[in-house]
Amino acid sequence: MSKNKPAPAPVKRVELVNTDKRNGRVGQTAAPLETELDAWLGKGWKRVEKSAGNAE
Amino acid sequence: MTQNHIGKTIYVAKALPATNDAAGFAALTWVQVKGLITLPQLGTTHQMTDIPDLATGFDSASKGAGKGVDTTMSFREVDADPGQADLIEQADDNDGLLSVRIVSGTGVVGPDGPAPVTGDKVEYAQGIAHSHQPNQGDSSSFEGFSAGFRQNAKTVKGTLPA
Repeated sequence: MSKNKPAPAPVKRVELVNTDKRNGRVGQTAAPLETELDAWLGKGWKRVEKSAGNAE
Repeated sequence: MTQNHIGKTIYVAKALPATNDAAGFAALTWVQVKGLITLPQLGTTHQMTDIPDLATGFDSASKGAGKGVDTTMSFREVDADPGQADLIEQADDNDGLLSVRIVSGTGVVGPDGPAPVTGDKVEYAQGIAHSHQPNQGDSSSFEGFSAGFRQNAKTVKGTLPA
């Protein structure tokens, strides 16, 4: 009897905003995979702050 | 079978990816530049150092450093197109940092080319936009512009993510 395999976890992306002109225009947005996040944060990208009204 | 380039579309992002790979480029925010006429040439060139040899009279070459191609892309004018505005903004900017994405779209064909869908083939490159030049006007020309693009890292090929 075969067992059903669990569905793969959905790919999670993180919303970032550029704060360093060496990456291009400040304010540009990107949505890298969560697994790639450290590389982006290390180059001056920051997490998009969500307002209280949009908090999940 | 060898394919032509008809139906390819170009997108730009006003930022560089953290990593020069498909995942890095896929994370950027892309805007189509409409009215495409000529795609930028992507690729690299390498320096060659000639090493003379008096005894043989034959110069041999040693491969030197590589660099990205500096090329020109051209467009017809499309009023109020955000992609054209982004490209011109970067070409006129002091830094000019730009990423480009060339898509071989297979989706529904609209007035601006085939829509990109998951799994379509893409080429990515990062570099510097420069040398924005509106077309010279005469009795047989049309409104549009060209912009230079100097590639600053190797081309990355991939497919559009979901």
